[in-house]
Order: sequence, then structure tokens, then C-alpha cells
Amino acid sequence: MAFNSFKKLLFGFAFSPSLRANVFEVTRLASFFNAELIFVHVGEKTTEKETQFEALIEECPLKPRDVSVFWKKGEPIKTLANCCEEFGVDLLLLGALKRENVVKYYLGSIARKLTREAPCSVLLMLKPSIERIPCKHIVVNGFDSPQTQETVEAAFSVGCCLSSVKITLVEEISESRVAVSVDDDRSLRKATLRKEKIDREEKIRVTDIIKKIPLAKTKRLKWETQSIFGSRGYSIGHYARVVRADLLIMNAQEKPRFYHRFFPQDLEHILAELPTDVLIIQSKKNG
Amino acid sequence: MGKKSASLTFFKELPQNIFAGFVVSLVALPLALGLAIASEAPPLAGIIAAVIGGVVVAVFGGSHITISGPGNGLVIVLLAAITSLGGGDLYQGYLFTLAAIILSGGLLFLFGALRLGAMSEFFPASALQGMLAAIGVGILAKQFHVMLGLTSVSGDTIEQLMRIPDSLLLFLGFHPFAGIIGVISILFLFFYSKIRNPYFHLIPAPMWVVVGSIGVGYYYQLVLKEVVPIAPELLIKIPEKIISALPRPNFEKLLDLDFLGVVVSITLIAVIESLLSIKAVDKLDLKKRRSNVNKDLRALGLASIVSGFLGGLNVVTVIARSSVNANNGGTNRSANFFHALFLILFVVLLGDQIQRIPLTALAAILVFTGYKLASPENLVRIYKIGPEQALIFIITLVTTLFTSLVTGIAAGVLSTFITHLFLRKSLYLFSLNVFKPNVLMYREERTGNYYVSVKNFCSFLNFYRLKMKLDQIPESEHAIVDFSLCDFVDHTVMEGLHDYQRSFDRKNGLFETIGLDIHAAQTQHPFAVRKSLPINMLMGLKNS
Repeated sequence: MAFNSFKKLLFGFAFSPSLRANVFEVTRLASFFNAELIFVHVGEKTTEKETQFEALIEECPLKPRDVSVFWKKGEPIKTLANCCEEFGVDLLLLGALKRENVVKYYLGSIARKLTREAPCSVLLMLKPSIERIPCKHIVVNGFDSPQTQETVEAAFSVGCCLSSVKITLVEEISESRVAVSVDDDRSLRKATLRKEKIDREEKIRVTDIIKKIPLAKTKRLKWETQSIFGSRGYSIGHYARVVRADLLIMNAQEKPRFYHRFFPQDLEHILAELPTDVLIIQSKKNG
Repeated sequence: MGKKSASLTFFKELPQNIFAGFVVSLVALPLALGLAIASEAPPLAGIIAAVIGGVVVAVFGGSHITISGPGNGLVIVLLAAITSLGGGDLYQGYLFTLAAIILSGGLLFLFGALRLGAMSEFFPASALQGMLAAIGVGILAKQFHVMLGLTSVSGDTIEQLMRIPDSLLLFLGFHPFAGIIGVISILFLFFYSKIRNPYFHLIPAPMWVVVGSIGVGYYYQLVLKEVVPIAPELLIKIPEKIISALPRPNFEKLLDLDFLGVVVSITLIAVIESLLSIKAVDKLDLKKRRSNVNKDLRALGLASIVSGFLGGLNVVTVIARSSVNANNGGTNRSANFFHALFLILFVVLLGDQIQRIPLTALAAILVFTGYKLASPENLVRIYKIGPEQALIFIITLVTTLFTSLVTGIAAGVLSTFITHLFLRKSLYLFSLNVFKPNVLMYREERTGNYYVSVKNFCSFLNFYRLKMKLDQIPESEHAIVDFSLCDFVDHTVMEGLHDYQRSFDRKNGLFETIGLDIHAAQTQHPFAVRKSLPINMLMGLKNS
């Protein structure tokens, strides 16, 4: 299924010290995507807050084509999730928190739950800034999953909008697929050969995905692939941090089942410690 | 390399392996007898363990140049088991201990089958050193008195240590002749390496001691025509009929807690001693092969079971004999087999001569072994890595001496963890991340290098994760280990990385460690503990 670019963005805001940076960031994003931007505030509405916020939007250098502000009351998670559904939002924007003194980011409890429950794609922003920090390098997952095609397409489309330079497709391959445990020189040689074979297979699979994307998009960006043998869901986050990627794009989780509470899924490792900005693509099929 | 050329090399190298096996058996004979006697088991128990170990591990093992047999580390555990399980009756205790050895052999086999060879990584390096030193002190304390001809000195390790001065003053009054043989033997062992004559070094030092002391006996008998002035209780006794005298292991205490405790300690020490030895011996292999640790553990377990049923001690991989093997040109497991074969020949053909070996000479060999394990140089070396490592070493050593090996190693692990908490001043870092994956390894598509990044912290608690990844890199490649995302790296890891560095060097690979320049170390030593500097301190560095 082809990926349609984001047309409607939603940002749930609160009056926090980082509000200014957040608003600057999201308006900039919306204008890059050439999308409509909806602000939702959950909580008490006062005229003072309203004027303050309007002034802030006026200040933004880049204006999206359409901005609307809604003031809602109720429980934040449910209200925002409902808004997404109600307005037919494509992308929900959320800000992450930074751990004190340490360069580590994590999600607040609200953002974490929203990420799981949102009916649309979600972008988790680590360091919203007033000045633009260009998004140069995008890392995207190349899992063997039906959602991946759409996610990779989204990556190229986002890359084009943000004028990124490079996209890396990462295939995480579970060690169990190698099925040879390294004990001595002989088994090491065998395992290495097997890995090379799996690596080649994966490359063909991922290249096939890219072949299905319109050339207009793939031509504008440099792309490469990288296979990683390691625990799925963990390696890609660590990799994104090592290569200092600016954006990590992942498949959304399939519908959570009961046992997933005990066995965390792919995204959990990344949500526990955000390596960089994370964009989670909700497949149309899945939603 | 095809099957044909492999067997051709095997036959081509057979003579040198037979020779290596012969030299090893010269060392193994006195050690096997001595270790068995030191554990209060019949002297033959040690020989049985060495013979069975040699045969079984040569057939089923996964390493190349290691030698298996009774180990030094187990003396203390076996001695405690034999004296305590029998409730005073040493022979009963020995039969119970045989049952424990058989069970622990089963456990060892299970360890190998479940691929738990990586378990030894969970023990901090300094704590292991402390434990080995404690074993050394234990052997030394007991055997010192025997070396002087006093077999009746009892008490625990500390008491025996305290009595060493008394024994030194008094021994001439009891068995002066045997005692003097012991003293001469120990002096000889200490000065053996100072003697420069290469022909002299063809025969290993312990064999010189044994041959020399037997020679003195013959001198008295044949030249002076006198009775050897050594009391019969200070000579080795071997039963007349070896086959019919086989003991039967006693499984009556199967559900006894003390008995199970013995099984656990024997297994623990056997695993640790074997794994440490295999790791160390791999570095001596001229053909630069990597041992299959888990396969070796299975073979050792099997050998222990067989040995236990035949009345032998348990079988572990032993480092001193293995290095003798490596130095004398052993290239494959057949050397281990031949060492067993020569031991059988010795016992069958030279049974009479073996019974002339004075216990004092064997005790001298053991005192020397114990001294090497507990040598004060070890402590100095560890102190140079960091004062906290010396503290861990001493805590483990003292706890082991006053309680037991298992408690001692537990204290070592605990004290290591506490020092880490003090050094890093954050329980958060360790508790939050210990169960999470923290290692990323991938092969860079463009360069073909292996890149390994480690996050959060890396210590003995989670070194196995890093090891698992590093083991997958062929040593002839270029590996880069990046610690820039890692806040804390401990001594066990630094030492482990150094081992990798060496094995990569040997196969012409390249092993680089990067990202440690933002970490502070307490000492200049390359194995010192590293912790990352706070960000603002780094800013300060930038400005200055």
C-alpha cells in the first residue's frame, strides 16, 4: 500500500518551559510537510493563556498553510486520542523529556501511553529548538514485516520533505536465524558464512522494497543498507545513536496482545531510552 | 584442509606428542600422588583421575593442548569433604566424597550440555585471584608440616599457619631425616629456575625431587646396607591388588545438606579451574586454535563420573601440566592420552619405586605449588591495577580462609559490586540496566570492519553479553570496540579485552578499543577501572 504524505498534524500542548521551542518546531515541520496543523490544549482555558499562545504562533517565522487551536477538557490521553480520530489526523507530535544531568531522553507517562494508543503515526521529538537543526541522516527499519514497505516509503517521503541527505535501512536479524553457535574455529567459520548468506538475502529483500518506490523520491536521497545481527528492537535504537542519526523511523506495533505485557515488543526498548527523534508509522492496514 | 591431510598431520606429529605426553607424565606422577594424599584420599585416587581424565578427555574433549587430571584447587574442597562427611572415619568420608564427585561430574556434563561455559565470566577477576590465593594458602598451611615430617598437626588453615614456626623449631626432634629431605626438596624447587644447564632442565623439577628422594633410599639400602631411616607412615602405600581393591562410592547421604553442599562446591571449583585453565592454555597454542569450552566441560564431566566410580578424584583441566605440554611440543589431544598411558606404565612397572617416595618430598612439591598460587607478587600486581582491586582480593582471600570457598567467592562478588557502587556513586546506573541488552555489533558495509558499541555500563555482571558478540568476530578481522556510550567499565572487562587483543594479534587481526579517553581511571595501569567523567569536567578540559 502506498504511503500518503502527512496532511494533518496534531500537537497537544501544555504551558511548560519548552512550549516556545515546541511551537517553533511543529510549525516548521508542518510547513515543510505542507500540512495543516492542529493545536490541542487539554485543560482549563483562560483568556490570558489564549492571548499568550496566539502571540507565540504569530512569532513563528514559518507558517503552515492552516493552523487551528482547540481547547478541550478531560483526561489527556483519551481526549488527544479521540481528537486524532475526530479530525482524521495523520501524524501526532509529542515532546519527550530529558533526564536530569544525563544526556538521556525518555517519554513521560502520558506520551508513552499515547504512543501505544494513537490511531495514527506518531513523532516523538527530543530536542525541539527555536533555530532549525537540519535532519540529515534518517535510519529506518527494514524488518521482514508487511508494514515495512509503507514505513520505508514514508522514510523517503519524509526525507524529501526535510531535505535529508542520507537514509540507512537497517535489517535486524535475530541470532537464532544463524542457528550455529560459535564454540571453536570451525563453528565460527560456519557461522560467519551463514551470516554472509543471510546478509545477502536480506539485502535483496530490502532492495526490492526500494524498487517499488517511485524513482522520483529515491533518486533525491542517498541510501544504503546495514544488517545487524542482534536482539530485535534493541539494535536499531543503539545503531541510530551510534551513527548519530537525526531521525529514526519504525513500524508501529501490531495490535498488542496479552502476552506482550510480559515480553516487550520491538518498540519498547526504543521507548525506554529514546536514541533520537522517533517517527512511528502506523500502517493504514493496521489501523 | 581435507580429512586426509588432517590425519596425515596427526601421524606426523605423533612422535612429538608422545614425547610431550611423557614429559607431562613426569610432572603428573608426583602431583597426582601428592594431591591425592593432601586430600586425605588414597594416593592412587590421584593417578586414577589423571589416567581417566587423559583417556576420556582426549577422546571427547574440545580443546587441543590441555592436560586433564586432579586439580590443585580441589584439594581444599575434597579435604574438607573427606574429613567432614565421614565424621572422623577418613575411609568412609572418602567413599561419600566419591559419590559427590560422581554427582558433580554429572553437573559438569550438564553445564557443558547447556552451554554454560560463559558462567565463569560472572566472577570478577580480582575475586578469582583472591580465591586461588586462598587455595594456595590452604595447601601451603597443611603441607608445610608434612614437608617437615609432622603428619599429626591438625586444625583449620589459620591454626596450621600459626603453628608453622613451632614446627620449624621442633621437626628435628621427630623425623629429622625425612624432614631434611623435605627442606632440601623445597629449596631445590625454589632454585630450580636459577640453574642454567639446559640438559638439567630436560627433566621437570618435581621429577628430580621424586627421583632424588628415591635415590637416597636406594643409597641407604644398597650402598650402606642399612634400613632407610624414614618411618613407614611417611612413605606412600599402594595396595597389592589394584583391581580388587576398587572402592565402592557410597550414595547413602544423597539427600544430606552437607553432602549437596560438597557437590556444589566441587562443581563450582571444577568449572572455574577448568575454564580459567582452558582460556590460559589457548594462548600457548602455537597453532592458534580456539577451544570448544562447552565440549571440554562435557568431557571433563564424563571423566569425573568414570573416575569417581573407579575411586579416583575428579578431573579438571590443569594449567601447570598443560603448559608443560605446550612447552614440550604437544600439538593435539593425543598428548593428553599418552600422558595417561605413561602414568599406567609407571604404576604397573615402577610400583615398588613409587612406594619409596617419602611423603615429605611430595609435600615439598605441594608447598611450592601452594606458594605459587598465593605468592605475594600477585597482591602487588593487583594493587597496581587499583587499591580497590587489592581490597577485593584480600576480602575474598580472608573470607575463604575463615569460612569456605563458596562463601569466599560470594563475598568477593559482593565486595566487587559494592566497590563499583562507591566508585560510580550511582545504584541507578547498575540496577536499571543490568538486565537490558547493552551491546550492538555490526559489520560495517563499506569497510567490512566489525564495530561493537557498548552502552550504559560494562562490568563482570554483563561482560558475557559483550563476550558473546566478540566471540563471533573472526580474529583475523578488524574489530573496533567503542565505549563512548558506556559510563563505567570495570577491571574484569579491561582484562578480558586485553585477552581478545592478544588473540587478535596472534591471528594478524586488529582489535581496537576506542571511546575510553572520556573516562577517568584511578591508576595508570591499563586494566584499571574506568568511569566516564561528568560532562562539565570535559568542558573544562576543552577550554584549558
